[in-house]
Order: sequence, then structure tokens, then C-alpha cells
Amino acid sequence: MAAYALEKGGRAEVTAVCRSNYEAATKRGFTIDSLDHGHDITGFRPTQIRNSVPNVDEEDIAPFEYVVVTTKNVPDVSPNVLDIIKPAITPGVTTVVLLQNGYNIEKPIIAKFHENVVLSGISYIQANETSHGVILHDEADSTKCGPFPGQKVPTRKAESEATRFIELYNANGKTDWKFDEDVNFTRWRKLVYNTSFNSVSAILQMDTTRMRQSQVIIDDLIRPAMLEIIAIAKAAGVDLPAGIDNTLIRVDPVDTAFVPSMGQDVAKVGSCYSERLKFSH
Amino acid sequence: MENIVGEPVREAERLGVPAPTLKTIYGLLRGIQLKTKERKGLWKPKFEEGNPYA
Repeated sequence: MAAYALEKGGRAEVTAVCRSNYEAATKRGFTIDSLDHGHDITGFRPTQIRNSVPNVDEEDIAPFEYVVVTTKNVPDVSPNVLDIIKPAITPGVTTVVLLQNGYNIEKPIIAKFHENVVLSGISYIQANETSHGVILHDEADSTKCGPFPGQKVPTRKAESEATRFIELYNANGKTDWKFDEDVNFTRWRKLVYNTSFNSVSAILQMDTTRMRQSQVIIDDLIRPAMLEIIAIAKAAGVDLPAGIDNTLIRVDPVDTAFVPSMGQDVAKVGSCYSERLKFSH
Repeated sequence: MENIVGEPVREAERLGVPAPTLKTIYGLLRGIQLKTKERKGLWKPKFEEGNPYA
């Protein structure tokens, strides 16, 4: 969906790395049913589709202005994110956009590429590939994007890179990316839900509606986990709003049996994460 | 799940914040991860040198 938004805006050319869906993407393009962009999109192909990460040096190609990482971040399995994206990054030129959840995910990238801007993207989109090359996008593409703290690059440069990328992205007229003034706050806030509901759904293989109906799962597992994250965030210097636990306990719709992403992943293959990468010029 | 649950658990330890629920959740997720790795041939169920639980 990031590739689609960027191409649709007409201000970016995307090189997409597709792996298991490479054949479907090249032969038929993508079929997309999108809440933001339209329900009957067929034959969508980014400017370039590859099944391996470009090696800018070896292949003698022009540097990428942005590398957008949309995989899930599984650092305990090789190759990790840094290993995967390294060949596509030009030191001092390429801005890396980590469109992933989690904490400390930027550290290895910044350590290796301290002259490059690394941006945080926290997404509230829901989009699933239901079969190879077929995408169902059913929750608005609204993302908070901003510079990670703790970089060597000047803050002003990092901020202007974020603003520019948001402009390129929103040029399609339908998406709602916003500048993130406080990346740590945004990330800790997302962790309140992800360490509780998302994690417990993976373990119990249960939807969040049933958890709330049980009451005991909220009282014994979800709320204590949330309160612990709130306390850790506070100790780390991030003050989450009072009552955020109560808000997030009730955030999901109750008319459907909503299973968060980690719950779905474990149901699918028993693995915590699957992979997909996209890159952009 | 390392960056989602593992990192906050490590931060908790670093900062001295009690996190018993998160630690338990993390342990259970690690178990699921290990089962998956075994299924994918990324982990062999055997006693490594120095394992005190052999």
C-alpha cells in the first residue's frame, strides 16, 4: 500500500522488492481493494519490481533517496533488517524509513549509517495480502512519521526529510500521514496495546472481544501488562496520558471477533512474523 | 516479538521497573518462537554444551 500511495501521488518511482508474491506481481500486477484508493484496482505495478534487494554499488545504479522498510522486524532471525537493507543504502544520501512497530529498532541502522537520516513510521493501517498479489486494505492509511531521536545527523535535516517524505506520500490525495513530533511517545503508546492485547492474542489464539467478555483475561493479563509498560515508559522519560489503559482496553470494535496481527501470524504458520519489503526512489 | 516485548522487558531491567507480567508474556512468546524455529529447521531440539538442565 505504501508503494501504491507513493506511485499514485506521481512524485515518486518505487522499486518494490517482492519475494513470495514476485510472480503474481510481475505477471498480473496487484489487485487491490482499498478503503482509501478504491475497491477495484487491478494490474498495479510499481515502476520496478525485483525479487532481491538492489545492490547499489555492485549494480552501479543511482542512489535511492528513500528506503522504506515494511517488513516485520525479527532481529533474532538472520538476515536481520540491517543485513537486508544494507546493499540498497548510500551513506549520507539514503533516508531510511522504518515502517515497523517496536522499540530500539533504529539503533543498528543508525550505528552503521550515522550519516543517514532514519525516520520512524508508526502505522494504523490494516492491509492484508489474502493471496499472492491480492491486497485487502480496510483501515485508513494514517501514519505518524518523524525522526528518531539520538541521531548524529542534524535535527533540522532529519525533520525536513520527514516533512518531504510525508509530502511525497500524501501527494496521492487520499492518505493521511502526519508529522510525528515525539517518536518515543508514539512508539511507547503503541507498545501499550502490542505488549498486551497483541501478545496475549498470539499466546491464547483468542480475539480481543472474547478477552473483554471474559473479564478475567483483562484483569489478570491485559491491564497488568499495560500498567507495566506505562511505568517503564515513565521511567524512560515518556509520560503517557492518564487512563490510557482504560482507553485501549476498549479501543477495538466488539461487533467483530478482532484478532490482532500477532494472533493472526501464529494462527497462520505458527511463526511470529512474515516478511515483505518495499523500496523507493 | 523481540522488539515489541523483549526490548521493553530489557528497558524495565535497565531502569529497575518491576515487570512480572511482561516477563511472563515474553517467555511464552519466546516459546512459541522456538517451536516455529524448530518447525522451520532453524533450531535443533538438543542439549547444547553447558546446558545445566540436561
